[in-house]
Amino acid sequence: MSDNEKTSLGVKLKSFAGEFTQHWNTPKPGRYVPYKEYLWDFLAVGGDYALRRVLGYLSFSQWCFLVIFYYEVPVLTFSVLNILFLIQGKFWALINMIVCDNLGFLPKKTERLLYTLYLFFATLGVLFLVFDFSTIFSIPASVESYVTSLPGMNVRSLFKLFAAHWIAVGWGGARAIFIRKKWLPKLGRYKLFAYFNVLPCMLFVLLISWLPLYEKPLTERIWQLFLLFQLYGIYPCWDGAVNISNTISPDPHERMLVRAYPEKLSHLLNSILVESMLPILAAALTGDITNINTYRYIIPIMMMVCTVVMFAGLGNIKERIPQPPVEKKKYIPFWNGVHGIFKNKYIWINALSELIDALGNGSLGIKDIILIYTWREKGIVMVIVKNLVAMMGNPGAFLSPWIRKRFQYRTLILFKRFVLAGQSLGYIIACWVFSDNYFMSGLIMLISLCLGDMLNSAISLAQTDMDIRLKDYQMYLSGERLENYQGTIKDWFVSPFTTLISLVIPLLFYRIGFTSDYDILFVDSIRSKCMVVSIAFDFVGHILCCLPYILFWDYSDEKHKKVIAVLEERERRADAGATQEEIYAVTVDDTALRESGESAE
Amino acid sequence: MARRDSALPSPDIGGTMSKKGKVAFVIFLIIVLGASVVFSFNTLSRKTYEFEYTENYNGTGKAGYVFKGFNGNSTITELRVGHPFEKSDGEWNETQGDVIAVKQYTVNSDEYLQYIYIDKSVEYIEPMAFVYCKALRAFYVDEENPNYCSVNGILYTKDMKEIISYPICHCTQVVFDDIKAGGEVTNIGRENVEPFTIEGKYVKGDEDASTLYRSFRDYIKSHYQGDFEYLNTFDGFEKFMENKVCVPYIGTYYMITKNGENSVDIERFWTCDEKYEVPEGVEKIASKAFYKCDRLVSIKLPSTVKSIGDMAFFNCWSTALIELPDGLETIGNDAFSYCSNMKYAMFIPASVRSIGHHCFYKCNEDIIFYMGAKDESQIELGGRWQPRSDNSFSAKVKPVWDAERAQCDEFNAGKYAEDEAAAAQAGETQAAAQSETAANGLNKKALAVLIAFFIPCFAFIGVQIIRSVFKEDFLMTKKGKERLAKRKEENEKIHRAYINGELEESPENTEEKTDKDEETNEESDRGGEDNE
Repeated sequence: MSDNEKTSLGVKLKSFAGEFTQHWNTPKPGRYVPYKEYLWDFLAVGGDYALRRVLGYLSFSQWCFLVIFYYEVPVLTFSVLNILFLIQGKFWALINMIVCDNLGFLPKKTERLLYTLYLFFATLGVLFLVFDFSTIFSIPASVESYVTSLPGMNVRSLFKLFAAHWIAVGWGGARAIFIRKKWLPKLGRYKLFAYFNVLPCMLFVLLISWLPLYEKPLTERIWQLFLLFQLYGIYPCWDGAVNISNTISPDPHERMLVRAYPEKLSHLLNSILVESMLPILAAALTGDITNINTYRYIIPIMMMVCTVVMFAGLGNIKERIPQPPVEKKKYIPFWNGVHGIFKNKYIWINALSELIDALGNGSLGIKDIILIYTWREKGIVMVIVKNLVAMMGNPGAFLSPWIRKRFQYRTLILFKRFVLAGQSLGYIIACWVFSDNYFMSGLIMLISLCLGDMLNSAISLAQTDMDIRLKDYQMYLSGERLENYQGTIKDWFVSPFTTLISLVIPLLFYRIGFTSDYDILFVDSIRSKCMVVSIAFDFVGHILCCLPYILFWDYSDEKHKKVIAVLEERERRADAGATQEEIYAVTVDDTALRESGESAE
Repeated sequence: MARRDSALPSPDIGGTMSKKGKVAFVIFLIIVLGASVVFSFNTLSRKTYEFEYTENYNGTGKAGYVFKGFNGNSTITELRVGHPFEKSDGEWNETQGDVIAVKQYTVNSDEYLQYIYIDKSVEYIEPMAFVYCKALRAFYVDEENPNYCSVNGILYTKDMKEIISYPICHCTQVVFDDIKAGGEVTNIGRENVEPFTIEGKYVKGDEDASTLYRSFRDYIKSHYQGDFEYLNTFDGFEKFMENKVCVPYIGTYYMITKNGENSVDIERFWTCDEKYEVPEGVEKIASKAFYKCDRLVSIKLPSTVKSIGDMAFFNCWSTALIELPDGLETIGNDAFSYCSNMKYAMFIPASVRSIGHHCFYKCNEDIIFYMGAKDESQIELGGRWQPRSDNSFSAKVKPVWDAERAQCDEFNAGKYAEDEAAAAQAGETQAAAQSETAANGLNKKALAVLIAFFIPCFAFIGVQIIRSVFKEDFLMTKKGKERLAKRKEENEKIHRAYINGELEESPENTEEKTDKDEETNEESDRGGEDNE
């Protein structure tokens, strides 16, 4: 390195350090986030991300070791419960989206109606829980016989299950309206529940693992566990920091910077605590992740560490969505919300692409196939390889702000799909050519996996960025982000079709000989066939799901700039004391006028 | 391709759907949700079961059907492979024509089948045609079948040279006719007997008056969920009361030992064969012949066996030790994987020419392999054929080459004796202590650590909650309060600048502004120092 180069590097470093200290407390001109907030974001998101993964060990589903191995709940029970509450769930989701997307600010009449409804169900739930209605009502023998034939249920427990559901829905719903209305203006839309839910959430984590429910007969145990998990479910305290981080600035480039550096680095906490320490501690102290003591001691301690880290930063990060104050927002009734979602064509382009992408659903997890079934590595090699694979995406992620700045979203998403298709081809070649050589086939699959991850990590961050931009666009269209409407309505329409499409691969697996018995994947020929079949579908899915983007996607960066300009103008007008009508009358032309006016000045 | 960039549509705040749109939305939603519910119920009840057949077996042009797919449910406990089944009016009925072959993996991971009958027409059963039938007790093959036969419910080739499949729940004591006869089954071996008493009255033919039926059903429901689905009908209960015995599931029996006026004493027990001796003359153990036969504690192979197929004894985790006979030539991939109860030492005879990859995967890593072969050049060894622990890169114990069977037997005998002595010494006290810890799952020291850790954490989180929600300067020092006020002031300033559009600057201006800012900051810093 020549002296000149050395000097210029030194100058650059010095100026960077100078800039860093200068804008530690106040943001750089043109930016919104001071560097100090990067640090808070690092802590809050790191804690939040890890907390979510720790608490991911607890769920009332067949994926939870505690529920399956310790409490011995039959797997079929979850399907029965899903069906029992399927229709009710849709109804509650409908109400929930009206409440959430209006940020809890409802017209008086609607508010009273919802409070009455929620509290009625909560009271009904308490009554059903306290009294045994199975002995009060006379149940027809045929109904009783059918209910008793369901796994883990009898008439008494069925009443209790409904009671648990109603208590959770009723109490949770009423509480959510109250908290939103009272505290959302002060705490913002994302972090308020972290403060209000954290203590009850911890309490229920402890109750689930410490209460001696195991001693009860199965029919009793199931409804009691269900009640605990339903109550635990109404106190989620995670995701707040992650969501704020996504809206930490109205400037998309700054959002990318935050996502690529403090947020990405903060995932280290998860890698250390949850991915490495938790299994190591479980293996050393309690023996296994299925052991009850893992849930009584290790998980609560991990949960506490993550929560403390999250709270260390949470209070100091801010959401910066350009918006009028909550009290000046327009109420969005149900049909207006639905209309708003239908008008946002980008949601449906994504949905169409997802639908096509569902062709690959049901295929086997490639890491598990390589490590568990091809190489049969479950110990230290598995940890090393998994961490290596996870690290492959880091360089791309760190470069993502730079990449996103230079390429439009559509170009990136097409690139990602082609890379994934190439990755699939790599897997197919590995299985086809080296079907007899388990080491080589695993190695080639691993190389394909790493290359794909390396090339795609930046684009994955760009996709998260686009999700936020789409919400900005929704806010421009409808006056609110309609996050719940988006999720719920899209799910109503898309999920039955994706479920159907997702059946294709399992049916083909069945033909090959792979059903529910995963050990069959140890057979090289069957594993290769399963891989080739599923990956071929995946490959076709990747190619086809580019089509909606090629044909219809036109949400460019310029368009997003205009969207943000309108949102900011609405906020300015609100600040200047404009009426609701004046605020929402802003159009793109107004912002153009303002800009030209400013430049004239 | 040219980029299409349509104009940004105008905002549509307060826009709503037309009446037609609303109706279409609701109708579509009802259809979609209805479909979801129907799919879910269908998945749950699995009321339909299926058979699948083709013709022209492997292009041979032979007349007859090929059985290639079966999807059962809880009502199908017997399967007849002879004539194809065809669906008419929603029911599967046996039709004319003969099944001549059964394809690989036709009956796979079935949970309910107990008996499989194979007719004389079946000429080919492909390897692994019947795999992992978790409740299977016996195969019955027509005596006139030219290629296959069953001996005590186990499937062999007609010449008895190959054992094709051993039923997971094989019970030699019980044959199907006995079970049908019910009350006659009294001489079976009884293991793991669990007696219980049920109180209530039984009135023949009257379900509502039979309180005994309800009590019985509730008891089974809460104690033996797996058996329950076979015992929850009143018809079944009546048969049980009549026959005094019922066989709900996988070698499990309920027997009435005392029938009182207002109560019955019942014993529940199960029995499956724990030992099996492969008959002399068998030369080949087919692939997956004993796949997941986890009830078998001991399997004895005859001296005639020459080859053991892939995964032949996969996951027979109860099986203690399998002696490999002299004359054995090949051992397939994963042949003994997950046979975790095999310990001490194993003798691989000199006649063995090849061992498949992962042959002893997940077996005890301490097993010593005494090899009859002189060295590695005489035997083809598959990758990672020896067991090893998850955290190691190679096998823990090196194989002993050029060994004799007697060496291995001697080592095993010594180890057994050592273990027995150690177990006796450990005594009952340790076992009692262990069982107590296991039952309580409580460790006082760990609990103390947990509480000690939680207190400061709760305090920290509590303070953060109060500061954010109720009182910003809660438990703050004077300096902290000053810092907070300053920060609020700065934030307000930034917000004002943002509202006034002062933050939005072009990159060119930004650089100029940065220089100016630096100057201003330097001045203000100097001012700050002066003030201090």
